[in-house]
Amino acid sequence: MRKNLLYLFTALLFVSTACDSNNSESKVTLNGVFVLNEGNITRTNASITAYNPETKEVSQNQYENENGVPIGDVLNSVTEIGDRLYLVVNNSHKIEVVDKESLTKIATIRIANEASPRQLAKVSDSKAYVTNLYGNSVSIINLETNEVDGTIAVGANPEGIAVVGEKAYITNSGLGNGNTITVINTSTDEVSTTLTIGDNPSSIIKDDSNRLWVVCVGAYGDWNDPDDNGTPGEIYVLNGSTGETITNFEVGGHPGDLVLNDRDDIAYLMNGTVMSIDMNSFDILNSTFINRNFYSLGLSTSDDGQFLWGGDAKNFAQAGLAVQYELSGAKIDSFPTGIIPGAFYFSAE
Amino acid sequence: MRFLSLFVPALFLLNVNAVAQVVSDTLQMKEITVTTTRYRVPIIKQPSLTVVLDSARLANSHGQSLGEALSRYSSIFVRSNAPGAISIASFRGFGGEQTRVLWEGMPINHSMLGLVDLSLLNTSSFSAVEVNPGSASSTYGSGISGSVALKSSLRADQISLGQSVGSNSNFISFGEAGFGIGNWTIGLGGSFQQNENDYRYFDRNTEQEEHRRHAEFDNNQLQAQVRWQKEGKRFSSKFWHLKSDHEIPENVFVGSGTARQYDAAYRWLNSFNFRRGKVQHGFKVYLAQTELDYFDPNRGIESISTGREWNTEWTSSIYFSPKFLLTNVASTYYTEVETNNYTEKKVRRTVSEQLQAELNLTNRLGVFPSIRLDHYNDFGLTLSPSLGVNYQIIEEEVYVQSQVSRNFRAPTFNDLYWPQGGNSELDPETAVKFEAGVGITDQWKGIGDHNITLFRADISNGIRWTPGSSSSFQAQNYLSLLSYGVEWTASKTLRFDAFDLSYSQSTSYTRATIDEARFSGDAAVNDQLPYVPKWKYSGAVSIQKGNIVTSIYGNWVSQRYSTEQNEVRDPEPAYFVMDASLSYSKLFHKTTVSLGLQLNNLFDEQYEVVRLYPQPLRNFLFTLTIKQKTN
Repeated sequence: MRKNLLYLFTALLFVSTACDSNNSESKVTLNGVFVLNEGNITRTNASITAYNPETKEVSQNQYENENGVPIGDVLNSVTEIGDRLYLVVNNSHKIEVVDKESLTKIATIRIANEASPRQLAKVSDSKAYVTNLYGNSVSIINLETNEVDGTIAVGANPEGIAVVGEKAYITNSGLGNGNTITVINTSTDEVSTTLTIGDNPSSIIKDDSNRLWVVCVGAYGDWNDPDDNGTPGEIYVLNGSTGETITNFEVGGHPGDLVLNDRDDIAYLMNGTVMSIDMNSFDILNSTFINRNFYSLGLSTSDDGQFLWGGDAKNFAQAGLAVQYELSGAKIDSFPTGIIPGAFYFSAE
Repeated sequence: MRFLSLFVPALFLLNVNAVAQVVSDTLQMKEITVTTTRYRVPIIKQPSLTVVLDSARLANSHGQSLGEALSRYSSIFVRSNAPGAISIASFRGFGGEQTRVLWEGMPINHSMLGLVDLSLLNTSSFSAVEVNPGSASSTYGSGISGSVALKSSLRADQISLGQSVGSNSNFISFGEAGFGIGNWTIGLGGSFQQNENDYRYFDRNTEQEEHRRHAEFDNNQLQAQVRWQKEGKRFSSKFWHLKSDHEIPENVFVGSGTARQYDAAYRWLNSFNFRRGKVQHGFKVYLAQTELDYFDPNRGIESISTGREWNTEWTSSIYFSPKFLLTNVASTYYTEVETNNYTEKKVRRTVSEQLQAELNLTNRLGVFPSIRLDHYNDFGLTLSPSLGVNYQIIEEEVYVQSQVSRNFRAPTFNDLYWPQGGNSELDPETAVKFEAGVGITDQWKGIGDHNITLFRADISNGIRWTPGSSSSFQAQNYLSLLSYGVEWTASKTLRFDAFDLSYSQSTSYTRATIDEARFSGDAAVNDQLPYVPKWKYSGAVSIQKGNIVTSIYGNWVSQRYSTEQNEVRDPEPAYFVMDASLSYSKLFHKTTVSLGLQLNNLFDEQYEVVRLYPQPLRNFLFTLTIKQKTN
């Protein structure tokens, strides 16, 4: 197992995840895929599946195999910083810092008060922010000491985070009832302003033009009224430098992950199906680009091309499935994952 | 506040010979009417396996929850998150929602959740517990698994007071007083437990020994009873109040948790029995109110509910002849729930009619047909027939028994009405069950009492919360399950000079699987259901000499899977836990003083019943009891 991992991640140059995809212009060869499996909440069966696209070899439970202990409860997201991965384990209220090649544990950053961390983003060489869903806050992570240096109060139930210059944008989902973005000045760690956007903002992604793509999932409506579907999902596109709204448009339903291709011309949105969106005209190109419902979506880039990866959670109680597609929409391959494949991490050399 | 001081002045009153009841009480219990089947024949003449935890066994489990006692003395696997945390009975592969729990013959399963948390029930509240792993819906309606019948009969001839002090700041005060006045008897009993529950355990997260946090458990119970008896007429009124306030510990990878729960239950049962000619009549009126407040400040969740029940039952048994007893049971059940989770008050009304017969065709052959019709206002009619047989190959010594039944389980209120995914179109779960056993009593060659029972259950329309079209979970009838296995119970008592030696054991094998694919590529078919161990063994050995009794208990549970697709994770390891107890009693005039010491987990086994919920390492409970006869 360990040899395999070393082989997979010997020279990582590029990272992309479903939730905080930072599209790189690097053109390299995809040599490894990590699937972050959330696992069932409170059952602590989160795991990491490793997949080698060349050999088609699949290895389950990579973190546990390497470190001898479960990773924790609900593995929510991963962020690469330097030669480390920061694995945000939501319901264990911690961030596992691991070597990005071997997954060997380096440190554990505990988030106090059971704040429920969700997404982490680097804001400087020595500092990162992590959103805390139930803490209604952002924790300031010292990347040198792996300790929490402070907390910044934000809106209700923050989820996503994206950084442009000295501004960190935090989406406040309000668990379906929010409609704001908190903007933090990363040099002072103070809230500079709060923006109002669509209902239930979740993930927020920066493109190469410093535009921010915000997925507003839409309010869920009254659970007691079967005819009340809430408000439709929207995409807001913001100017990352100023925070001003460039445009917003309805996509319907309650969308999930959004990924951007490396040419910044087409976005792919999970919304019951996978739909494709023109990033310049903001038109929906194909509402059933992939006519399949996924739980997560990732996009990898390499010399061999770009690929879409869908995570199928099946019945949320047994092993899921990761499915690889060409950008033409043609299915290429699939492999089993752990329980609830919730995010992807790609390495390339 | 601790309650120890309440009992110090009573030290000069001494009694209790609970330890001396180890043998005799157990044997006597075989002669009672079996509540779980309603059949008025001894256990060895019943059509299905029944195990009784009598007052002696319950006394030996003093300070433990009902779940711990059931795990010690029966084939039930009790899925316990830890002391003070939720504890659910699992019979033959079934879950807590499918297990029927009765108090004095009235179902007490929570109407919203469908289950009974056994951690809230203290063994000291009960005088006997019946366990019938294969009981049929033809007897009590909803419930496709087995039944646990709780009995509470306070003694009319004594006063007792006691105090237990144990590890982890565990304090239990208990007492009981009963008096007989003419045709009347009056009893009052209660227990008060405060348990910090900060027990030692090995933490797989931090990889070091830790103390459990956020697991404090307070539990108070009070019972009052009035009984009247004259010329074949009997009236009783029993009141049981339970109040519990406890923190809810999380698994060690989640943290200590912030949730806590408050439970309260008020149950009042009035029954009147009399005989007119060949007909024995019985009337019951049952009123109950249950309250539950779950509060998690961290997640901003508060669930408050109040349930009310009003049940009536009229039983008439016609003794046509010594060989033919026909029993008719007409029942009504009214249940309502008010909760902040539902938009309005939800009500369930049920009318039931049951007809069952005991046909003793010969001295050796008993046949037990039964049929029950339940009408629910929310999903209509269900018909539950059963047929049982018992044949005494050698009368009172060797017998065979068998029962086949069609069973159902009504959807819980949450299954129907939970705002996010409740499904008001649900049908009841159904199950066809079969069991066949052979039994031997100690009268046959003196080898002890043995029973080996094979069982099988085919469940259809199983209710499971599963992702719907919009990926949100919804309750659906889509599970098909198969459960089969074997249970072996044995007990034996020997006497060597001044020593009494008794031994009992229960061994079970259970295979429980999903037997039909629920969707394309369902990888869980034929895998063992989560938290259903294939093998379970529990045994107890007691040695008594005079006023001293010592016992050793062993409980072995094979590996369990925590996921429905077994290969996703390694199984949870098997565990073997040994407990021991030592007690001494001495009589002073009419007063008996007993001292008892329980040592649990003797060998410091690091184990988890449910994955990542560690159980306590070695711990103790010291108990002083004083009893005095009142007549």
